[in-house]
Amino acid sequence: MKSSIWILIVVIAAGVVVGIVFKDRLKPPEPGDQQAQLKEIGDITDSEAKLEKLQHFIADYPKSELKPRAYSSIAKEMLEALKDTTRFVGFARQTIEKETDPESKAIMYYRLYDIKAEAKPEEAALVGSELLKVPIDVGWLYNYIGYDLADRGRDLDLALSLCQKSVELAKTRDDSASFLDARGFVYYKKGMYQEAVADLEKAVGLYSEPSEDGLRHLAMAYTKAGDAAKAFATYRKILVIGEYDYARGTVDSMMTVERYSPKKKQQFEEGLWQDRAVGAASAVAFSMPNLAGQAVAFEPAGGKVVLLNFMSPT
Amino acid sequence: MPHLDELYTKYAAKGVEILAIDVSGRKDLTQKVTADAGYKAPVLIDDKGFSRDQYKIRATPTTCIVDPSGKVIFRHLGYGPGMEKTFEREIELLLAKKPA
Repeated sequence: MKSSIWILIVVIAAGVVVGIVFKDRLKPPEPGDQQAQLKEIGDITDSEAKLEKLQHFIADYPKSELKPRAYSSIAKEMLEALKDTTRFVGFARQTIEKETDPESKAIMYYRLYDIKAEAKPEEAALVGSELLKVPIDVGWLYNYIGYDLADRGRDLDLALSLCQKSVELAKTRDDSASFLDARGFVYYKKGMYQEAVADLEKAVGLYSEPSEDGLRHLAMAYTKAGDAAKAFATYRKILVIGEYDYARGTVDSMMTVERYSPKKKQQFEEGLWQDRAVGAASAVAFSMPNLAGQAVAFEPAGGKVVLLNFMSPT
Repeated sequence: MPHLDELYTKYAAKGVEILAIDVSGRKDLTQKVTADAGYKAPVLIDDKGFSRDQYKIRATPTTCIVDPSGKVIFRHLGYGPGMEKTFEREIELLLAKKPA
């Protein structure tokens, strides 16, 4: 009886001590904190000091959502600031082996692919083949490599397998849209125009906002598939989104071939502007500080043409 | 960024407003980059997620062109060589449509 009370006391005391020692570790840090930390690290100018802090960040927060961002910063620092490819490749291979977070591994693979694609394009496909063997659950990575290979006109069969994989891994509607878009583009490059049209029609229907790239790919596929009327309608849709030179040029020459009268051309233009107005959202007023800290207000519908460029420094 | 400054130089006198809105939350870096580039167009700082919430900005750079009646008549994500030509054509078309 007496000894069991002592055991109880010891257990409680040990619990208190453990609680005090690990208090900071048990309490999950606020994501905002981590964001602030990463931002602070980002402002360090010395590359080695920055790399060290980033590695510490990764070790300190193994479950953080921001881990891929930290890895991405490491890659950027090694490749762009230090221009040390050998060091990065070593780091990337080590990370791929040890890291369990798919998104972080994907960042490494994506950079490894880019390095090859720039320096030795004939070997870039190897990274893609490796990814088919050791699958990781990150659709954008397969999509990126598959599309890039096709864009370069290389290893089209591999590009198709990669894009196939990305379509299977899509998690959101926008994922599905852009992955089908890429797979359709690969079919197009392979000369399989019916398959291309099928994928691209689906993709264009899924995008949450109209995609100029998706429509351009679809218009190209219609043209090759011999459907001039649908190609024309699709180029027109591109002109509803924006005044893109190639779309304007193609539509103009198609109208010439079809011998559009000046009146019919004018109707075409008016219809275009009506459709643009229908799809356009209303701009929202705001007031934001400029770099000097003074508030600058934007009032839409003030009779002015306004260009807003949402950017981040590069 | 430099291409935007060219548009600013060209169109500010024609009454076109050009605003850059930094959504990165890294004001210091933005300040440095714009100062180094001798950038003249106004740069605003959005550190409250307004662009994300109200303009549905998911990635940068996204360019929006607003017509005189307040409609976002053009929207484009990304920047490639020659893109400024498209922006210019949009602006020119809107200026031509604008009642004198």
